[in-house]
Amino acid sequence: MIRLARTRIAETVFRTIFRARMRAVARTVAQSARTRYAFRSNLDTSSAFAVVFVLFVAVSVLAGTQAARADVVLETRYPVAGTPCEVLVQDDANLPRPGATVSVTYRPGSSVERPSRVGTTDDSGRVVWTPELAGIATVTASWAGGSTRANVSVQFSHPPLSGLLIMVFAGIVLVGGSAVRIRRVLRSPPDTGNNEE
Amino acid sequence: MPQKPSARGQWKSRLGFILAASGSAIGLGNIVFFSANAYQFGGGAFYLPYLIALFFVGIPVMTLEFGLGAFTGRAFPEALYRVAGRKGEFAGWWAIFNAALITMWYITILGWVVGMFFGALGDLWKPSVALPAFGIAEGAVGNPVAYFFHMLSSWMPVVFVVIIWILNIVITRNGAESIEQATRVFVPLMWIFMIVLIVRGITLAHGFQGVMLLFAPDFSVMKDPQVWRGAFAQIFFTLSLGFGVMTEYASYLPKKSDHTQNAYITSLLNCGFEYIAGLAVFSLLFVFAVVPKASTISMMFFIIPQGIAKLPGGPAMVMGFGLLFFVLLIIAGLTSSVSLVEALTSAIHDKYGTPRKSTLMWAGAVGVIGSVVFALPMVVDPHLADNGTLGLTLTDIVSHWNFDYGLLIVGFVECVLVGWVMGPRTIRDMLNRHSTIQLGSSFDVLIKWIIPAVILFLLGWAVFGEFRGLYGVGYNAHYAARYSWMKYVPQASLIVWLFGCAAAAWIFTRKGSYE
Repeated sequence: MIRLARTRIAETVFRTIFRARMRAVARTVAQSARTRYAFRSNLDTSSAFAVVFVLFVAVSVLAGTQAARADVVLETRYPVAGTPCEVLVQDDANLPRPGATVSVTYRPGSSVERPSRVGTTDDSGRVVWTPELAGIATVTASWAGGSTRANVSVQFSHPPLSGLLIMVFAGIVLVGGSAVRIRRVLRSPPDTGNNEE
Repeated sequence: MPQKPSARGQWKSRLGFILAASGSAIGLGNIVFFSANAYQFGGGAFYLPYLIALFFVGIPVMTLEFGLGAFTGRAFPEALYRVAGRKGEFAGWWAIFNAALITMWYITILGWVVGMFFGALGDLWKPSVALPAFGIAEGAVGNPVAYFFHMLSSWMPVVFVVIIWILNIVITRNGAESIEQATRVFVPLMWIFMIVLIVRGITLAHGFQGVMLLFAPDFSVMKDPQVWRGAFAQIFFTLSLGFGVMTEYASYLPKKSDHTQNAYITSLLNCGFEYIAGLAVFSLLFVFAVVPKASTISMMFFIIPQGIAKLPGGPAMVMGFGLLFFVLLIIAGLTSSVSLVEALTSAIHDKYGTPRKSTLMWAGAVGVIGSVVFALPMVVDPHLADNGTLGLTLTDIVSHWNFDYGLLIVGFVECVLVGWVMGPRTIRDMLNRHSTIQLGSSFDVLIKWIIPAVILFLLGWAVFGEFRGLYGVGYNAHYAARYSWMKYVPQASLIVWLFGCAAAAWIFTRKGSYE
């Protein structure tokens, strides 16, 4: 009926809230810094960037983790297992992030979870990744003071024969088996009557 | 005076019985939990231990429970009384009160599903909502998580819980007759809704890749005992074994029915539904790259709605499929909860001969109070580090004991009583007289040796885990600052469940007689 396993939304939600709060603070601070910069056009560029930088550092220290709202963008939404695919790591301002370490976890959260290192992004913030396994994977990019991640669905290069066989076999046993038996019940005479023999 | 079996009501047809029994077995867990388990335990490779568990544990125990009902024509406590006297009856009542406790939180979860259904009419699909009770501003937590906790921290679920209880009472008011009327509509509807979800899922671009993900095996998991444990536990829970429900339902059938065949059909329908639910869920998860979680609550309220929210076709399409999904959950939950309510009501009715409707009203009144406790909206975990509200925390911890352990204990006891006290041959001969599937002596071996050993292994494994830290004590760190008394909840839940059910079972065993 129901298997109410651990309802530990726990770390995931906690981290989400914490990060979301910190991102919100970071965005507000950055926005206010940009606004100030726009209004105080008499300030020279380096001073303005210095203000933004100091505020960002402050927020980073407060957040303890990431301050930038970076992103991992794939060349294609559904990469194919065994086919190289370009990964672009961007920062909050959609600028490429060079020097970020990119890694991937295949089938995260499962008993067959497999982490793998992809490489480091080049000057254009890109790295080539050849997915080894089809299925859901988490691509993580990390650098000094921050990290970001994205879930990706990796396509099978060709339908797995063993998977198709299991699908057909389990379907015949479970769905086919119940259909055949139900058909027999519908054809058989009704077996109601007195409970006592 | 207890009534004669013939006066207890009967299924109008065998099909009606099969629909009711499969409706009882197919619940919230079938729709989402199988998919979470299959993802966690190696995709297609999970089917091997799953099918072994189905044929070597699930169907034999289902046959045994049907046999007990058919053999005695009575509810679970009396059926076990006929097998092993007062000790058997005590075990039967303990199972019934354990199931009653499950009914309480199960109906609370159904109340939350109703809350999400109303959310699916609008707010659930917004990017976020504020959580004033948690002191969290709009935008800090995204939907559907935000909407779920927003709803949980209000008193609205209490209203929904009362509505669900009223529906249960209405459906079970005339026993088998009214249950059959309801399941004849609900169960086919459930299959139709699920097929609509599958068609939508598979026809999405790359939807079939999700199906491949479900079935593509990773056989490296086969040497992991955790996978085998997961499969055997999944089968035991998914077939509604150990509740006393199947014995109760079978007691409304004539003795000459083909009970072995019925056990096969009910089990296969249940697992067939899980199979097709997996197609719908996995296609959605793959297309939108959502990672499944090994928890029914997370899958029902967060993961799948998260996928539905991304469906193409605009807000109307999202709302339509969202409503369809939650209606499907409500129907699946209702057909299961009515069987639990019926098991309790008819057990009392059988022993004491109390009028059915007043028994039902009393059971409903106590049940509403219990369900409201599990729906209490007080915030005990403002950072949402664990379960957020008092109600969800209690549901989580109590369900851990009476679901994860209670059903297995009952399964073990019934196998031991039939296997070692009554002798499985008696029930096998009775079943074989009218069955098209003849049970061999292997059935005796399974009931006497193999299934009790498997259940002992599952229980032992779980108990061993408790020594590393009692379930729920880890929450203390998050609750202690605000509610120091919360640290006693795990121990208190264990004591209340174990001894509360035992005390109630002792009273009901001592009071009155079947003779």
